[in-house]
Amino acid sequence: MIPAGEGGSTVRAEVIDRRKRVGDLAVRFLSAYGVFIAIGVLFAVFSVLIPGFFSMTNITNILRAISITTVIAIGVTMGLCANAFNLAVAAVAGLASALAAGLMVWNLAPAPLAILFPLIVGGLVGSLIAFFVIRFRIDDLLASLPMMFIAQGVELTYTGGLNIYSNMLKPAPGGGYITAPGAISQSFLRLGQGYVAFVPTPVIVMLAAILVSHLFLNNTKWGRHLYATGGNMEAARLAGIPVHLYRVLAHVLTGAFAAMGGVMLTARMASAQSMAAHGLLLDCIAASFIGYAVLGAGKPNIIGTFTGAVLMGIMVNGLTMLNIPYTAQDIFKGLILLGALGISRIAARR
Amino acid sequence: MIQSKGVVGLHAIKVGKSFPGVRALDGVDLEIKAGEVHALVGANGAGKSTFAKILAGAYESYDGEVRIDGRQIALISPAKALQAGICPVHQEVDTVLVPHLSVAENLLIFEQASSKGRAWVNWSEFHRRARDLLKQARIKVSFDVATRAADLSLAEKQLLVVIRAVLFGSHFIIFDEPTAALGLQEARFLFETIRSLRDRGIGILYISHRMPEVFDIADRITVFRDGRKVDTVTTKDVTAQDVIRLMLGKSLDQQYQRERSSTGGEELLTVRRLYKAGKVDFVSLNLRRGEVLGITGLVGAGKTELARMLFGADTRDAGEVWLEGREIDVRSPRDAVANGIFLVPEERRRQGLLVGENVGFNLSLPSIGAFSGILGFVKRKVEGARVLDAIRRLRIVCSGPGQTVANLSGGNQQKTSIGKWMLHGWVRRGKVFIFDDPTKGVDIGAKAEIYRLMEELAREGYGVVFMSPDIDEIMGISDRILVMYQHRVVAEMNRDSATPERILRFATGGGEAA
Repeated sequence: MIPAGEGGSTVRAEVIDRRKRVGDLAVRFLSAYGVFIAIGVLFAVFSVLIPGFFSMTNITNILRAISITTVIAIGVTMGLCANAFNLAVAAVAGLASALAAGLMVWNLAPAPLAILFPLIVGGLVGSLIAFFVIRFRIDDLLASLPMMFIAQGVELTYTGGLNIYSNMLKPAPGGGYITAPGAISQSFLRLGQGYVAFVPTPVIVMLAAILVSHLFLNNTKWGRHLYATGGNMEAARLAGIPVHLYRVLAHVLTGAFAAMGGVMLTARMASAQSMAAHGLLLDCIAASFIGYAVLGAGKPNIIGTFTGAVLMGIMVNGLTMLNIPYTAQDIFKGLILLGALGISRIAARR
Repeated sequence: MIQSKGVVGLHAIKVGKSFPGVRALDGVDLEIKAGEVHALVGANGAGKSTFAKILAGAYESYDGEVRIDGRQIALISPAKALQAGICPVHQEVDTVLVPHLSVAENLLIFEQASSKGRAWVNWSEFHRRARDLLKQARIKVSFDVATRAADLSLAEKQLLVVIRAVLFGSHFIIFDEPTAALGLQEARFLFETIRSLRDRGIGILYISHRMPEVFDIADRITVFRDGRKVDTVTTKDVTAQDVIRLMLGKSLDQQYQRERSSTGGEELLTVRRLYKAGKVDFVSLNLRRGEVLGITGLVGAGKTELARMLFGADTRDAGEVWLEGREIDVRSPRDAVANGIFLVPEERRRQGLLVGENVGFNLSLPSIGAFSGILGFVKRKVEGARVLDAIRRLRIVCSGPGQTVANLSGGNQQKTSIGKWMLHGWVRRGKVFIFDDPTKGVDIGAKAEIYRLMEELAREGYGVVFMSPDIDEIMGISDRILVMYQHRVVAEMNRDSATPERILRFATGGGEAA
């Protein structure tokens, strides 16, 4: 090959170079700290505008409010590491929520079983999605859509569209009502309503989930392999990694964490409210994607996901205290997500 | 009746094209007369495809000019090229057909796109018109106009593209390796079509590196080498030998020559009659410890397919693989790695690396299991030390293990892709190292280092399989050379009996010296 001719005006190139470098710096700064800056600004503005916003109670409130979202979003994030995008998480959470309540109220199950069984069901739903993805080569996202409907349908069939609570009443087939024999146990409720020292239990659960999943993704070989599978499946396979196994693992984890969120929801409300989990879907996914833009990661990561959840939690809390109707809050969530996606996109292209 | 009237010829004058770091084509003159088949040949990287792409309007800019009947035309977009009467028939014809539309719709696609207010389609009339057009094109076809394009065979798709070109009134049609994926029967049929196009006054540029078919069909042959035109010859005045000599040019650059050649090691890998329909045609080979086995052949000869099959990346229909006297069943890359067989794949960015991750991540990827203890926790210290060792030994130029691979040069990326296996060989003994065209797109300095690495690996006791279409480097490095042609091994030579002429003759479908 013949080397290319050097040519053109070097002076102009330098000017463009400098301009590019300044732009680069700005992009790098935004992609690293953009979300933190947004959190800081929101926090400052709300603290000034709202008396009582900057208080221990309110901060605890915010953390408790985002705990369930974060746990589900952690599952979404772990799935995304292997490109296993799952839209059924909220439906799985709903199903798990109903199962947890139903097991205790109707089947007199002890609390540990009422927690464990829904988690297993969540994992199974995930592995089913993985089966369709791998066996029939359906897109992860597309394969999760039918499972969303199915999980939702199973939930509604199981509950009959009713809320499940302690000693609930259910219409009997022959007329009249049946009273449920069981109640949601106190030890179970502690998962959603209790405190450890001054910290609400769900916040402890969330922090534990963050710690474990962060270590799992960043410090174990499985985490590496998950990222490799999502980063470039062909290259990962050619490096000897059993990529299909990791795709299954990703979906199972997503399903199990979604179910955990559902169980926490039941513990929080002391009942399983029909369709209560479904509003969480977009928040969880948004938190995961905002996470891409945290510290310039450019890929799914747990710290980012938590930061994303915090950002949205602060916003919702502040807007609510400002009496901005809940119906309008989604507009702001959309704008934040848009900004985060833009930042991570530009950062990735650089 | 469609006839190319009035057009005499296409002249490319001092046409050139540069890409960052490379001058791919340099001051090429070429003439395609109306009513001739003009073959364009050259080794890989000679600039054939770049030239074809310029004519097809694939680039927004190029040097020099192209004239048709003396009038200069700017081929700066595919649409401009089509208007000028130049139509390419790519290797991937699928890209210009709409797969789920019918033949009729694909034929009338231009008309439909510009249809004047006709929103309603009368299907029977539409199909009748398409059949009329097919008749007008006077090209024999075996498919109906209602067939979906996706259901056509590759040969039929090519034909459809040719017909469309004819109907559109193209004066010049470019075929870029059209027979690469065709069977013998289909190729023969294509040649018939090409001759019929020629006879009605269409000028044809036929790019190929298969000598037999070039001599079968071309009136004139132009030879490119290293981005320059060497000569244009009239087919009946020359022999295949002459053309091969023109393709090779000056004798070899001796700088890559390896000093020693040891083939004394014991038998390591034996492959018997490996077969997969359309990919690898009963290939047998053996490899000794400490040997570099060169496998060459032109692009599409089946080297990559063979490499992937040995590594378990693709399945095989038949054949046996023996390693150290034991038959092994390699069904996945994982099996291959467990047996100590490593592959440095052809497309490093797509297959060899995670370009979004850093150097350390990539280097330790296959070995991370060996670096982790209880609960799968990675021992960062052990990993870090190994990664630094690898970076040092391979001389990967990077700011450190934390640098993103996407920001490395091609050569350093390739070294990273090689390094992950080298490192794996330190923790779990490796035996066979397969390199699939490892020097593609890397600079001269990195090339030399990759050669050095292959030698080192052989010295360490690996059996090294080195696949490359570049005859010079194959001759410089290999202890033994296999030549592939159309998915088969057609010749085996040892270092002393190999000459570039012999290799190229086999690689282009010729036999032993005529």
